[in-house]
Amino acid sequence: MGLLAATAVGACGGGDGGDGDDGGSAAEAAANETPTLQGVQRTPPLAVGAVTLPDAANAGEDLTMRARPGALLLVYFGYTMCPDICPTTMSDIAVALRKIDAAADVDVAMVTVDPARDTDEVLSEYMGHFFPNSGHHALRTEDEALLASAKEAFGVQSEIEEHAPGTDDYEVAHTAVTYVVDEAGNVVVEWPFGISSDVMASDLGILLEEAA
Amino acid sequence: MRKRWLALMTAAAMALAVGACGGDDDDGDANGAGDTTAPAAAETTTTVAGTLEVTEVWARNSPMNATRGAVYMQIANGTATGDALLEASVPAEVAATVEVHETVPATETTDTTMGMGSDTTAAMGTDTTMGMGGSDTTTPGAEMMTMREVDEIAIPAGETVALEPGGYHVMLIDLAGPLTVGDTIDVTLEFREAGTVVVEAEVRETEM
Repeated sequence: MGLLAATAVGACGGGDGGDGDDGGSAAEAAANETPTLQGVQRTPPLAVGAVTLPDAANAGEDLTMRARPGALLLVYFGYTMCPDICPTTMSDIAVALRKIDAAADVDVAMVTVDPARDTDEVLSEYMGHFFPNSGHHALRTEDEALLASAKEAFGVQSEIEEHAPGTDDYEVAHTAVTYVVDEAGNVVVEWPFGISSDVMASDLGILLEEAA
Repeated sequence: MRKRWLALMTAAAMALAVGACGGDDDDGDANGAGDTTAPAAAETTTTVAGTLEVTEVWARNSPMNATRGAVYMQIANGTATGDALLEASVPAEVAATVEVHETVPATETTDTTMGMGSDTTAAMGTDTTMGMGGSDTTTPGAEMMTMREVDEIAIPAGETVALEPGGYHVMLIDLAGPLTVGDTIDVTLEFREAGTVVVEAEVRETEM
């Protein structure tokens, strides 16, 4: 896990070895310091503002991949049968939001890469479980082309494991990254799986100040 | 007489299992028959074969509709002999099936897509496509993750192996109901050398 984080941070070149324990600089960032985001950044950032997907947590209305004004939107691609990575990521995000008391300013969306098993109800309940105090979105579509284009916009790959027709017990390999999207529809930072909730909290603190 | 034997075995199993996971599970002792077992202090590390200690056993609480869960733990092999976790089980009222799994990059599984994936872990923004196309936008260093069942988890002599998020885990399949914070689950572990070890998993939101 630490290795993954270090790799990701190494790739962006902006981090400090990824231990995330910057307590001082992030919290006291007030005037003179330029706090650094520790997740992965790209120049230019991914632009995802044109992506829309139906939101099962909102009666199927389309959600556009842009944050509300002054807020941030976290987007993650996963599936609810995933017993390890996905709940761990959701839980880490929830912990990060609590650490900086930002539940009201950060919305979280999961796009299911397994729409066959993740029904509207299952997916909505899943997101409500992890984020009772935040705007949360359960993005689901059975339109393969639509899902494919959404994945492509984020650089997400997923693959349903081969299984006998009618069986229900398969895995879905998927890119495990959380994308932080701003009001303009830009992905301002990316957190590959393994990044700690401390790092998430730190990055969010910086970004929310900029967003406000 | 048989009952007392059972109580002894249970207490012994419990005693050796209760590591640092906050467990003073005082339900293990039969009334007053208890002090023939190994030292029953919470930190005991004695087993029949040597010193195998299972600690920090926890499971994440789950959404209402979740059908799968994961149990994590630390396994410390203080003996001079390599051991291995072979299988695990839980009561049927918790889950129907239990398997031991490992979270891995998708390239490490046998049913990988085309592409021999020799460069998938390169750090510097290497093309990590699995042949799915559209990989230009993939986060540098990120790759598809999946899980696979493993036959055993080796616990080398003198080492501690962690079952933790993103790595090995005991997977609960077909949960009978959601796992709720505060619940405890009896997990029966089978080791090649140490034999059967029963541990108590705490249901928590997170490992911290």
